[in-house]
Amino acid sequence: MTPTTTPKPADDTRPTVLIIDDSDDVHRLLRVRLRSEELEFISAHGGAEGLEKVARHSPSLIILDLDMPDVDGLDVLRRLKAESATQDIPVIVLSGQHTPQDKVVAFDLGAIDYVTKPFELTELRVRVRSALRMQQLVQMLAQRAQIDGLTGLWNRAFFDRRWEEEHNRSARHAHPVSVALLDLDHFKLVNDTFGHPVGDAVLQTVGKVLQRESRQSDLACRYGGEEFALLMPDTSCADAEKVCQRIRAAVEDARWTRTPDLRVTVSIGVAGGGDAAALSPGEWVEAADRSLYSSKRSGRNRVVATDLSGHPPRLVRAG
Amino acid sequence: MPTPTKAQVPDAHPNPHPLVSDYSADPDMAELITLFATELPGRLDVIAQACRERDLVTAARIAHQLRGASAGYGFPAIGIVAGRVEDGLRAAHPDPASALDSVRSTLDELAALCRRVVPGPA
Repeated sequence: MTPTTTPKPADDTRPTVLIIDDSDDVHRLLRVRLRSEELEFISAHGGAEGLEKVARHSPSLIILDLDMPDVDGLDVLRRLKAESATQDIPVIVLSGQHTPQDKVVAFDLGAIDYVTKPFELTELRVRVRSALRMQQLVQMLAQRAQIDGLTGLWNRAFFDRRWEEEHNRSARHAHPVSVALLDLDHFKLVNDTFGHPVGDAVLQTVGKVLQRESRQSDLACRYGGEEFALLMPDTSCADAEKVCQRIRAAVEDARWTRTPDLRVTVSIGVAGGGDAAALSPGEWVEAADRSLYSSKRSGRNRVVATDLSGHPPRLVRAG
Repeated sequence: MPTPTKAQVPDAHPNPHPLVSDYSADPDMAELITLFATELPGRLDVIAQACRERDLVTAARIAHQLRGASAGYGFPAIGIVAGRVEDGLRAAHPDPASALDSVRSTLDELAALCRRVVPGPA
């Protein structure tokens, strides 16, 4: 069993730089002169090719010429900044056109820097480094905004967005998908009996159990105070139920060194199946919530799974 | 209308004033400088052919590329002269013949400069 859907640290692979320029010289020179920066380079020799490669490779940085015969650089820049998938990729304009007006237009369209040709190597190198450093900081900030500070899991906002995307994908391709809602049993009692620091430790530990016991493709989130969610793409209800049973058992088996009397259990509701198109994302989560409610009503510390494939939904397993 | 002279292969004839790259001592650049020097005659031929055909757009585009790239290979002087060629071709003229007339001497200067290029250290 492979772990986990831990939010990844800032990407430590080599940044990818896409060079969009119709001059072979620029591609050659940049690849050699920036070799020491440990970058991966992709070349595009025109605006149209550049746009296609941006979509395919999602580079960390784009170096863009303005004067190109097919689609000119300003048009490429305009299109990049108009698309949500590409608007945050930093663009350095590298151009022989250097009137103030050219620069104003480029910056207004969203370029983060403007280097004139012929470029001075040291200057270009530090501007590339600066752009990549800024991009890494922006990504880290964005990631931090989507992470729950206590458990290190993705937060509710991230889950809601990713669930909607995954639901749409599953509906489009008729792939199965499952969602589980997990709620700690008698958590208020844990806080009241042992104190909130212990309560926080319980939440952190359950978060780690989720990361450890779920699969690489799953997405574990803190959904609320003592509630968690697990998104399982390409997973049938039956398989999702197995994953959740594993999690339930691991939580029950956890031992608390500093509070030996503490016992923690979790109730889990699963909604899964191969018919994502039949229900909206919200209806799907409601079905998982009803399964969770059934789990609580039938004694807690159990998994209740509802298979949403076909109609009407049928209870797969309780226990 | 006289056409620009065809560039000679730099190392095929005595070259009393060789033009050496500013980066000739940089081993990383050796291969690129050799490539640039080898390709130069061909680029000048393209400009010459474009001028013969009154194709100012192509001539200006090649001059533009030389303008932007030459300094990167360590030949800023070529870039400066190529820039004058480009500006001359792109400037407003009553007809292509006038445009070509205006850059004739600059094209000769460019070709002469390029003939002096040697890929290795002086």
